[in-house]
Amino acid sequence: EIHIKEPIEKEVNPHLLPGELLLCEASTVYKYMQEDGSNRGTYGKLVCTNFKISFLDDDSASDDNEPQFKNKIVGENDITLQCVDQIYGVYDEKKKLLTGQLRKYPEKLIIYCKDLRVFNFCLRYTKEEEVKRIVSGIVHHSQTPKLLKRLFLFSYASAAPNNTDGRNQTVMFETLEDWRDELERTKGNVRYKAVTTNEGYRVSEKLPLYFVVPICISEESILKYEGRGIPIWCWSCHNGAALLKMSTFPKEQDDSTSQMQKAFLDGIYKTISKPPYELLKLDDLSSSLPSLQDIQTAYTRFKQLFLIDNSTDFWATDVKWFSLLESTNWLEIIRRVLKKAIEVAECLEIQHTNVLLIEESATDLCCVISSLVQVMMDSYSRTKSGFQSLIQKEWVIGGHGFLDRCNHLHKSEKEEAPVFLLLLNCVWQLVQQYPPAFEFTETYLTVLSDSLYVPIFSTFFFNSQHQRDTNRSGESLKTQTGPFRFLTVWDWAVQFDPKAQAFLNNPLYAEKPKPDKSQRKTARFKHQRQLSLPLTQAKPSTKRGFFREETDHLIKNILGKRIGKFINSADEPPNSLREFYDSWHSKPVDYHGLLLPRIDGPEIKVWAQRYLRWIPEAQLHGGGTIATAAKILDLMEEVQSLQVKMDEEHSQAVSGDVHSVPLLRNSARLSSLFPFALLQRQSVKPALPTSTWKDLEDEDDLVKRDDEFVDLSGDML
Amino acid sequence: PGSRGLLHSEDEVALPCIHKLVAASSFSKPKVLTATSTLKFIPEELAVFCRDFRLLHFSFPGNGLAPQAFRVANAIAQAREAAAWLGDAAEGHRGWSCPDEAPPEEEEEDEEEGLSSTLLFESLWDWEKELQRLGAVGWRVSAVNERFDMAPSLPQYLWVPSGLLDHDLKRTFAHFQERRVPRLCWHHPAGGDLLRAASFHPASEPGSEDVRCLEMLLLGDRGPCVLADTAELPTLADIQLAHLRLQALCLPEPSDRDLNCLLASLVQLLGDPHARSLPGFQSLVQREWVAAGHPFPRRLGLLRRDSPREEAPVFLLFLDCTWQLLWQFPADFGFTEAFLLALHDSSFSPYFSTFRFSCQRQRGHSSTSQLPSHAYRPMGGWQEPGGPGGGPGPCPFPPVWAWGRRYSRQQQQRFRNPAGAPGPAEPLAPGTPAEPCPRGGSRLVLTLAKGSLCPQPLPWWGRPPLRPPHRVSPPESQGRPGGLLGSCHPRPGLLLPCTAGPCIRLWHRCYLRGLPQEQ
Repeated sequence: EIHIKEPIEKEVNPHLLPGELLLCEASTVYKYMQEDGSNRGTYGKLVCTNFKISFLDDDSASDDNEPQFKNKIVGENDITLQCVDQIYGVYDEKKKLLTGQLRKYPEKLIIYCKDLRVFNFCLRYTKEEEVKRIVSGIVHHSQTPKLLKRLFLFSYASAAPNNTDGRNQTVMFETLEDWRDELERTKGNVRYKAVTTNEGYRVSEKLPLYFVVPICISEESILKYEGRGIPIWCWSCHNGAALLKMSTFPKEQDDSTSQMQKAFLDGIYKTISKPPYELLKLDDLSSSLPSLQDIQTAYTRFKQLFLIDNSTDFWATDVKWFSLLESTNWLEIIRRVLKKAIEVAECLEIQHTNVLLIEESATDLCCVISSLVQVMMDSYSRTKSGFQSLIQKEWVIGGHGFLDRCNHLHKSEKEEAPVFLLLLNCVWQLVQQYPPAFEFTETYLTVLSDSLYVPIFSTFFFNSQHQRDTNRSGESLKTQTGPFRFLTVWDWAVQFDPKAQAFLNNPLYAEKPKPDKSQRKTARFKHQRQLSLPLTQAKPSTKRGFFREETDHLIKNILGKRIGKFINSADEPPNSLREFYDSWHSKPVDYHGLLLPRIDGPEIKVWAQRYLRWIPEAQLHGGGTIATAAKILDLMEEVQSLQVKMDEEHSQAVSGDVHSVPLLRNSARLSSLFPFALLQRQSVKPALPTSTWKDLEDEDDLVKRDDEFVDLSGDML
Repeated sequence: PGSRGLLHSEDEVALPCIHKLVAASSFSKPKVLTATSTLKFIPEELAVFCRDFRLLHFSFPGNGLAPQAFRVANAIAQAREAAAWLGDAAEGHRGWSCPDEAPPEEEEEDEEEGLSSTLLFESLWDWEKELQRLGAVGWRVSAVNERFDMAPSLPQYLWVPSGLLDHDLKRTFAHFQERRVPRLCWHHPAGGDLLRAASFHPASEPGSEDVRCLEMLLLGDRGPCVLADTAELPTLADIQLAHLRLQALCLPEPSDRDLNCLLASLVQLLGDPHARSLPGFQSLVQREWVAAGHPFPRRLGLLRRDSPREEAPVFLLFLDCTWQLLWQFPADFGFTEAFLLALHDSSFSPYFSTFRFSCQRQRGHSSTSQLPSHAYRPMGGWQEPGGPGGGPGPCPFPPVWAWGRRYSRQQQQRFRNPAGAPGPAEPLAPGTPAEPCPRGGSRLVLTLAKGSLCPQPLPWWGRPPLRPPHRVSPPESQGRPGGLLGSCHPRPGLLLPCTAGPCIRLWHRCYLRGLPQEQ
């Protein structure tokens, strides 16, 4: 059965980060390379630290096989404690979920990760006490509730004082200046102002220290209900229409209180509906989008499709792949969110109305929609630093509860919901539909999603700016050097060396031509041209025309519905939205202008890189998008070297800013799993579908037939 | 997409391309219109569902257009019916005609570049040239069917073993359905051969001399032959076997005119880089579909409604399979999705010899047919086709590959994949010489069923030859070193598609063209 390779007694030590402590370890653990029944794998040591679970085999000591794309913090066989999704133990071929106290210890451990890796460890050859220690250690440290201060973030920050300034042009929105600059950039400063009312978190601990509200809103109204019922500015469109968000009042039992709240809201609406403000359109996201619960349920089902135990399982479910995918509802949720973002974009762009997004806390779906709208409408958000600034503005400082939504502390599963992942999935749809419009690649989005579970960055490990600020002071360590200096995830050099970072940049990004001073006018003209969408809806036309339009609509509606029954039974969005969508799609794309995603069913796709990257059954040798990318990179390299040659010929000018392009040329045909999977095996669908196989087993004649088959494998080796 | 060649605008549709015609009014239910069931109400809207998945939607506003609306709707229904031709083209193709206009004067030289490098397999020279490229030693071109008297649906020229004389070859025809004998379609550089044939005629009782010839044809002195049953279409396994130097893989199918075309061409797409270049692909379709006698009119449903309909989009299935490969391996194809779409659309167009006839013989006959008086005149004219070397009498219809007639130079440029490396058209480098198959000698015949090989007696063998029993071992046992699928890096030029669910996609540019936002 298992071909036993002599376990090597060489001492392998885990690579520990500053502040990382080894908690427990077990030797002679057997890690399956592939759970396909072949039982091949390697022996090694399984360790658990206060940061990660790590498997160390003999190879991990030697570094000759350096992959091109390597994470410096989390290695191939490392799982950060926050990245562990579920742990199963196998007892006599039966799988059991391991959560708290264990009475019996399993012979096999299966770890499912949030980045969709699956690890299989066999503990049969490990000493019993070591099994006990490592299994309970892993389960305890990764699956049980934790105190915030016990996050590795703090030990790391105190042990490795961070002196780097890793902002790389990302606007952090921690200062009043940042907000004012953003107002100026979007030309929202005429009607909106950044306020300091929340200094010392006087208004609310949920709101950021500084935020932006309409100029006419008084400090008293902000303070009145802890910032609830106050429209908070997200972004201003070029035409002055603004995207706002607002957290609602919790449902009140008391009639008089709710009356007062209603009166307060009416007052607010009245003030910001008056000129100079545009008409106001309210959108209550809690009723127009799926609930967080729905999103969580859908994602839980969806990710199950990719957390695959073994090859047999894969092929067994493969028969039903499309119906399983459909039944998760995840793609439908992505579609609804994108559609909502298009609706909002239409209101801003065509109807010139302000849009006020309403949600109970204004920190979940509000963040998704407002970020998406900005990615679609503001080409700055499609650059790397612009996107990072956007995440800072809407999510990190905006107060999205990363800690609760990712359930990093295992406090309550009820709060868990992959809201940020939902955004990344939606942005990915745009990236793959319009690659030249984005400065970053899908690989960037994938590693960003992985960084959600790396607790050395503060970015995704707090619920709010307040929580971060109060925990930054390091009260328990008063004697220490002062406040912690956390790393931000935007300092990509922490995780990737320059060569690997090149994979995050899109070589085909259609860079915006830098506006020369002399060319300002043309630039502005261009800016306006992208708005050349039908603006007829904005202003009611003459009476006669209006009537005509009405009758046209009437006819369309009567007939449209009738024919619509057999043509398009799907619920059609309102006419103006449809027109907006159709007219935009009938024009050539301006990669620096408005970008609308295509949202017809088949256009919404599975983010293959993130979800299929560890599944060898789904890989294409020499195929996939990487095949084209490799060709393009080759070409770019050639163009660059020719450019250098030309420069040399023409002048003495030194061309120092030649971008480094990842060297793909010398590598063999890449697999579609590149740059993630290092395993290069091929799994082939069993000739007999499992179901048929079972049927056949009942037949007697199979035994007879058995003898007639010819074994070709032996001779063909 | 969006290039419809001959038709001047997006709002035009060729009559045979109309799939369904539906009229609606606010006062009655929508009605499907045919020539026999006419309209009983004034239509307010008319929807034309096209076979190329477009949807043309017309509405007649109420101001006095009612009578015209009624007439137009009925006229379309009738014209459409008249446009379908009766039976196979062999029975005479009333209703359609070829244009009698003179070919246009100005000839653009490079326009037909794709055409000139495409082998039409109408001439002996084409067959010789391709055989040479494949480097198939031990095979020759036989002209035994030059007058279509051996097998009417087969092409004039066949690739057969060099050791088999035409005289002996003639003996074998009778033993196969439709007289479609086994013949070579592709030679693997490593030495394997891909053959295709119809299944054995159930009533045939070959005499001893016939048996000798049959076995010569099927087995030659090449070693074991594997019969792959198209019933389960095991494409991956096929090339696996071909690669494993089993000397020959033969595809029998009852008729050898449908799934064999599909399978033979897919195997070549996977294994032969030349087939993935634009001219190579056109030659492939020409050889494995057009010359091999795929009954296009019947399968595409271009025949009149009341004639027996045996519609089955085998060719469209092939285009979809090709698209899947193109999508999975974007850097390995010399052509693009736009090319496949153009081919898809053209298959419903009645103006090409390629899709109008069921076999080479019919294409030849068509040149002499009479033209009806109500001749349809498409815009523009035709170039006299006649591939290099002439072939049978010039057919009045051009092959579909004459893209320059219908697509602008700009559109044609979109057919070529800038990222794709077109395969070499020069002779394939012979791979490592085939080792003699270790088992069973040359008389072994195996069938590939459900991924395993079982010995299969030829019908005239009393009992299978004796050989030691063997255990089941699916050829795809995973991770086995040395095997095609076990090795980390497959042979360069070979594509191994992923057939798992997540890797199969909907060809939405093709099928979803009917949605208004896609148009």
